Amino acid sequence: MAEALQRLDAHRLAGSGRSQIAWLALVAVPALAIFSGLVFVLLPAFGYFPALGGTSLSLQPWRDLIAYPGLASAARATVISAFVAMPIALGLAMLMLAWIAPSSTVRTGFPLIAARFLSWLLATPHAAFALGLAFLVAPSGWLVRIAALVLPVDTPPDLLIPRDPWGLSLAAGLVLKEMPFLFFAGLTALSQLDAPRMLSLGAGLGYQPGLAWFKLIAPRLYALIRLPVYAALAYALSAVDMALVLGPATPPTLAVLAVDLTHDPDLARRFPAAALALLHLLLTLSALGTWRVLEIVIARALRPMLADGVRAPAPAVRWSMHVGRALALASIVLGALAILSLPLWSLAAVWRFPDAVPDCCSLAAWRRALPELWLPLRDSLTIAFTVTLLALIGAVAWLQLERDLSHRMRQGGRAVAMLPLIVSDVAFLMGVQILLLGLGFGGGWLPTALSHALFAFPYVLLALADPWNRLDPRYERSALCLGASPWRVLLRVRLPLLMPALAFAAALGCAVSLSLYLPTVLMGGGRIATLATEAIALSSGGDRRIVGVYGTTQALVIWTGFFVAYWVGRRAARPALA
Amino acid sequence: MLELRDVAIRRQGETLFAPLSCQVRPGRPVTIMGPSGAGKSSLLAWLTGVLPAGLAGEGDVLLDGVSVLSLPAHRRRLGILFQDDLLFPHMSVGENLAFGLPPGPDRNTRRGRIDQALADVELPGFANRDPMTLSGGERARVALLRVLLSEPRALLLDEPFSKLDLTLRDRFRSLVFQSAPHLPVLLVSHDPQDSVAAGGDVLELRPNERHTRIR
Repeated sequence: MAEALQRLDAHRLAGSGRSQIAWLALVAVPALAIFSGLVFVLLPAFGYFPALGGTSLSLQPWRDLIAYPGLASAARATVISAFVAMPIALGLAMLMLAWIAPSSTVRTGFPLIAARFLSWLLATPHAAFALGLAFLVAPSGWLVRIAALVLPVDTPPDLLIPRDPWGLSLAAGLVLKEMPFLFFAGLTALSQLDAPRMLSLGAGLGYQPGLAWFKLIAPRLYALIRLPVYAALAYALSAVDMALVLGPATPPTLAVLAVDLTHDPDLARRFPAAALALLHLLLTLSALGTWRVLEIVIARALRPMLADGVRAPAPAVRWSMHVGRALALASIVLGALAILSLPLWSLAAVWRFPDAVPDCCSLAAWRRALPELWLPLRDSLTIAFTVTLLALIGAVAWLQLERDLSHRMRQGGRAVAMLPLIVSDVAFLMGVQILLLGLGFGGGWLPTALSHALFAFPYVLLALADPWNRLDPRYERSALCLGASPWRVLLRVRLPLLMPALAFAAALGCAVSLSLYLPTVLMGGGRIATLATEAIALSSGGDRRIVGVYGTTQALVIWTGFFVAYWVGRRAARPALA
Repeated sequence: MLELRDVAIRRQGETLFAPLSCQVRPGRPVTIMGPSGAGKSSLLAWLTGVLPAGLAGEGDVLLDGVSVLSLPAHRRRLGILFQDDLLFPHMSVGENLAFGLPPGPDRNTRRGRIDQALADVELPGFANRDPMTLSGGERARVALLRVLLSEPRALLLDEPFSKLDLTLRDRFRSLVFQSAPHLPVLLVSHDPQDSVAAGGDVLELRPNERHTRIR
């Protein structure tokens, strides 16, 4: 045994040089993609891109951009929607955590039901969710129809909802969608905090449980979920699919405006588009910087509360906690209704205003949509499976290679992998698109799949990393001592033992790919239609039944993936027959 | 006085140990001994009101003649010291102690009490230190101070000495017993030395048998 372990160490030492190079090559992929994307947005933003006729540096793109009508209100709506949505989403997520899962285990009964609903909201793609929410809150939407049961409403109220010019409907959509994301990010992080003992200690010192949670757990939890919070903020600023459905129309948000400019057949418009993309990058960076400053200021202001010895919350605080809980519940209910309104519309035969439910049921919309639904479904799935395979292989290789590295190198590598979620995707994807254009590629299937992989990879890596590191190392050691080669150990011991995690990571990879809108639009060159892009494109047409069909299909495919993963995980968790 | 009456912990209907009764008076610590898995920690978890799901406790617990079972964990005022010091890593030493101190009257008074308490255990000027930079013995003393400053009505000790090395262990043990002469102290341990140092009654926890009173 000792001899075999020595052999293993010698093998590792000999292999570590090569494995470091292989690992660096993996890290280089996202780094290079983002770097080249940013370079090729920076150059055309200042007028230089010979392939498109820009041969000298100039400020003309910026002059064109500033002359663009509505730029200022587009920026305003972008910033307002993100900075209204994020604090609310974060606050509600924290309240929900303190309420239903204070020590990371979700108890049965109400907490379990609430957590199930939240995971369902999380697993619903942004595009479908936004469409459902639009159906729900529109003047002739389901909410008004439900209200009409008790109130005298016979015509739809005259309200500019969704798509209000301030971006508040978009903010509402972002809150409903980011709250579950932050909740589960927090729930995962909570398990690292020894919360049960901390809370019992707090109770032992006389602290009311809710207050103990906010004094002992929340500050450390926030430090652990900072990255997901930043990713959510970056997403809020760059969401195109949600903004097309819920955000203001003319002018739209900055991200939508940038995409509009790239659709202009006049290629000279790429120069102001690049300037706009660069502006979006700067806006994202300054938003993240502002958020960081707010973090510091708020932490400073709240710190004395830790030491004031107060054991129970003041009545005002307690009262606002109740309001917060009610809001969190309401947002879950709203989210659930939004999702349900998709299949409901797709099956509605006749749904006159202000009836609360349609005359059920008709498959006419499904029959009408199916012939055209088939193609985007096929393309979405092909791309999603390719992307997931790439991301899984990449993540397994990454985790296997980083084992011999120092902690700092690992952290650095992980940070690079997360970059696509933080850096403005509008900016670097537009750069990659301009680069491809300059090289003579108009975009298509392969660039789309590769760009999807860039976004799916960090999620797959994060989902695998924890189970990977938690696996008892003695399994592999004993297999090696039985004479199995490292490859065999990986394939026959480690991966089978991690099957539940692999299945979940695969479902997550598929879900990310199936949800992506912007990369498909920018990298597909107009030739790739997925369920996400079709659903959004159809939404402007106004046929709610067909939109309902596409939204339902997009969501159903993703839910099926998670369900299969759950089923595989349960089967794999059963002990194999000896 | 802390009194346990016919206390038992059940897991899926089976009791972990035979019903336990004892009276703990200030200055006469009671030690409960038992091998690991005997239910010592579950017993303390139940006393403090944080028994995990799947376990159920029965019997009664009285503080000065009044049952505490109907009170939620944070109103029982049973201070507990664990094997690990569990200093809150996001607070300074002083903030950890202030967290234990009841609220009021004002910042300077609080600060003064904390500095005095630290000086009393030979840790003068430690208030602004990060708990991570303290040695094991120093951290243990801060954890003890935090509990004592919270003015508990009884002190529960969950093997708080077992992770300290031998010399530290003796010093910290005597510090604990000296600092709480006014409190009922209940200690669970598997180290016979603890019971000797505690000096009071010793009960042995045995699965489904009568508890033998060693002394």
